[in-house]
Amino acid sequence: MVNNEEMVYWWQGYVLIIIKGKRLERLINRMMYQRLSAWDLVRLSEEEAQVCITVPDFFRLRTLLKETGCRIRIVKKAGLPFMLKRMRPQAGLYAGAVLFLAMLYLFSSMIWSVEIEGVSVPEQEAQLRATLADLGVKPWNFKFRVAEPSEIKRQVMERLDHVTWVGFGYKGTTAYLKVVEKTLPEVSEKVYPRDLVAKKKAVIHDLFVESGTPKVKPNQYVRPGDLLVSGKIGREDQPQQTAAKGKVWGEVWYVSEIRVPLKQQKAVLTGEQQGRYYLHVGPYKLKVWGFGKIPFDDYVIRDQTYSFSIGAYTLPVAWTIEEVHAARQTELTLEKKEATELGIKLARDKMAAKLPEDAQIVEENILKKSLDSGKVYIKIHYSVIEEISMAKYTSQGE
Amino acid sequence: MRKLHQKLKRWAAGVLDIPQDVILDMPRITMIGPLQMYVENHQGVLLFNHNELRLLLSNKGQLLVRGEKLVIRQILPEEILLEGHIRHVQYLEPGQ
Repeated sequence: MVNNEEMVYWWQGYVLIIIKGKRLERLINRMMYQRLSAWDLVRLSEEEAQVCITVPDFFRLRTLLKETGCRIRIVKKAGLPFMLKRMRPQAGLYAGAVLFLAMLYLFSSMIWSVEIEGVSVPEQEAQLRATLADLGVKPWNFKFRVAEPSEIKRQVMERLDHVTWVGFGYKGTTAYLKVVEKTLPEVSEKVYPRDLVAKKKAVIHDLFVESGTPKVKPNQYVRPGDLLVSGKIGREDQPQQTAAKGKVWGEVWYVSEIRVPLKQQKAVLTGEQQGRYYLHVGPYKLKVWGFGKIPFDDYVIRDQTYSFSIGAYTLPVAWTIEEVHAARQTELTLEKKEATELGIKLARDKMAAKLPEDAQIVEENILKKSLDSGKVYIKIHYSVIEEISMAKYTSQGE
Repeated sequence: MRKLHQKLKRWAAGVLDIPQDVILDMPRITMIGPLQMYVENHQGVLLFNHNELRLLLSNKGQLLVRGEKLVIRQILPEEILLEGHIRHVQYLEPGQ
């Protein structure tokens, strides 16, 4: 009996029967011509034979038996249908076992996590993850639904241009992607030929040229757009274009006007105060003490927040104390001198806020001071030394 | 006349390169030692018990197989697979 045929019979279910009758050979021939699936036929005695037959054919056999006058007895039932019948009382248990095995198999052929190795930049890792997810390599997806590792390698290589080699494979339920990035030689910043020109009207104070040819001298007056440092270097007849690099400090003049009223409003604390306490939990702010409206008409609030941290981890809980100080607006009248000083101070602050950091005020002259309708009007002139150069790219053709 | 018919058949089998058993309507027997015997093109089982099998052949002759512990492994129309210890295979001419 050939093995796979036996398997087929087992699936169908078969019975071992003993046939009793006088004309057994005739029955055998009838069975033969009816193409019944029967095997392992053994003659036991003159009137008995034993044979295995599949269940569907067993029923066909019974019609033949009537013709030949034989009787049968079932000795053994084998195969899947009978097994299922026997298992019926414990069907739940067996179904559970089968389900468990199926689940085990399915879950073990699932991708649970994706590990990416050899990527230095987190953004790129995220990008790779997205690429892999596009190809189906993501948690909860089955391995057998994903393309072959070689195909995935190829796809990843195609989609990323900065990788030299990609390795992809599974270790159990984890998909590993190993990337070797191209180590590109340091790209030196490509410089385009350029000159340095003036940004604003100024008198050159000092220059420091790293590359290029200086075209101005200290104490020279320049207008915006004037050439300060040229990118041309080398001999007059064979100039080479480079990027001019350097710093040019110039003295720049500013004029600032300011008005200061003599009558000044000023908040003076009366000494009365009230505390208000807040607890922050995550994004929520919760008032825990100091309810009600602020009982002062005019007030100044100072608050201080205390947050708690364990090591480097800041807890999402913080404590804020607000102190509400009662204030009273008082009017004080300044002397002209005081007002002028205040004005100069204010003007200087305003100036400093406007200038770049490395600039320094070298001179300030009050040009005009006047008192007009209760306000002091001051006009001040500042000399400031600051960086005035600006890059101007020149095309190669010039 | 009958002899001539036979001769013609035989000659045709040789010329046309057709297996003899097909042309002459004879059984084809494949044996694996004394253990297994595969008979094709027989006309039915005349007798079967654990030490004898008789098959009817198309020319009204018989094929007689004797042995011990004979089991018919498979029966298909005109084909039979026999297993056991086969000791003896004999042809019985028609009318014998």
